[in-house]
Amino acid sequence: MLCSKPGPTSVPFYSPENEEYYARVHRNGRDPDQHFGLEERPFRRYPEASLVAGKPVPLVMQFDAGVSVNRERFSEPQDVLEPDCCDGRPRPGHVVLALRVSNVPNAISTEDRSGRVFQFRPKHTPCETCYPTQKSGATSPATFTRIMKDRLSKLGTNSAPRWQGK
Amino acid sequence: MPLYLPSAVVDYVAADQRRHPAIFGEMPSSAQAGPQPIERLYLTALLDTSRHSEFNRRTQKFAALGDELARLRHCAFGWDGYEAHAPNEGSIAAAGNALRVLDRLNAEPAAVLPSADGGVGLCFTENDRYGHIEFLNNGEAWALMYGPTGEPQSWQLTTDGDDALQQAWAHIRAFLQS
Repeated sequence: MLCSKPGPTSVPFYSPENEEYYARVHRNGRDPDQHFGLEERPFRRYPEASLVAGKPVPLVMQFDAGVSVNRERFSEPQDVLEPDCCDGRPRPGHVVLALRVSNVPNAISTEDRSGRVFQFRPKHTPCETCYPTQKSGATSPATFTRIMKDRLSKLGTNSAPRWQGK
Repeated sequence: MPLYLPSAVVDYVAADQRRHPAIFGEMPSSAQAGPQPIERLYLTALLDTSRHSEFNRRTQKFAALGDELARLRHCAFGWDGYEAHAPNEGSIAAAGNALRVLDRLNAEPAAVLPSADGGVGLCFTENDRYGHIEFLNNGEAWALMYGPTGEPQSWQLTTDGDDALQQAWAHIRAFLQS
């Protein structure tokens, strides 16, 4: 899993290297905060070469491993591209998408008459060098992935990149 | 006694417009220019025509899409900045076959992209409407389409061969043009 290693701290690429950055991005002994406001905007990196007519497409959004994002409450948009939040690797050629928590449903029922209901629970899973990291896990990956892809597909028409990497 | 001439006789402006430019030295006359290579004249005319050729434009577009598809072989694990798998040879071959079928159907994908689920997708856009056909590494193929209103629609391409692809494109085309 990316961002799972404690690892050494890295010099920020996109933010000034100062105390404010390290206080914001690093965990610094803080506990996870599982309160998610509906207006909060999770940030997610996206490969710039995969924009179609300047917009992100659901084809490039991955759901089966859970949706990994940075929480707006604890980070700036560009922090999701910093090596501290990318397992120590820089991410050139990426842009940052601002999603909406309110776009993600709490639960989704399947339409195959099986009566299955998938719960969508965001979980704040900070690591030592990236406190804002949030992972939204799910069960039954294959079906869940397909449903989420359908449901979140409107992202492509409503969302535009919020931040451009170097 | 004044002599009036018909207006057509004294219309020097119109007459001047019909003069060959070489008369005023604006361009060399045929005598001054010397013999013109006939093949160059044909080539110039051919290039002028080909610039407006829809066939040539589509040929170049599909060549570019084929190049995009070939470049996907260089994708590595985590190409999306997270944990996406790279497309395998099977999905690349399926997408390549789909490109040939779509070319015959006069369909034109907007982009060929790797899929975050592991595979290759062909994307179509028309104004605010979007559709894609996705060929996964496990051999499955899915289609998805959505617009600014209404529910997104997705379905699995279940039948083998080019028929499923033709049906999927017919659905997507109808949706994009509706």
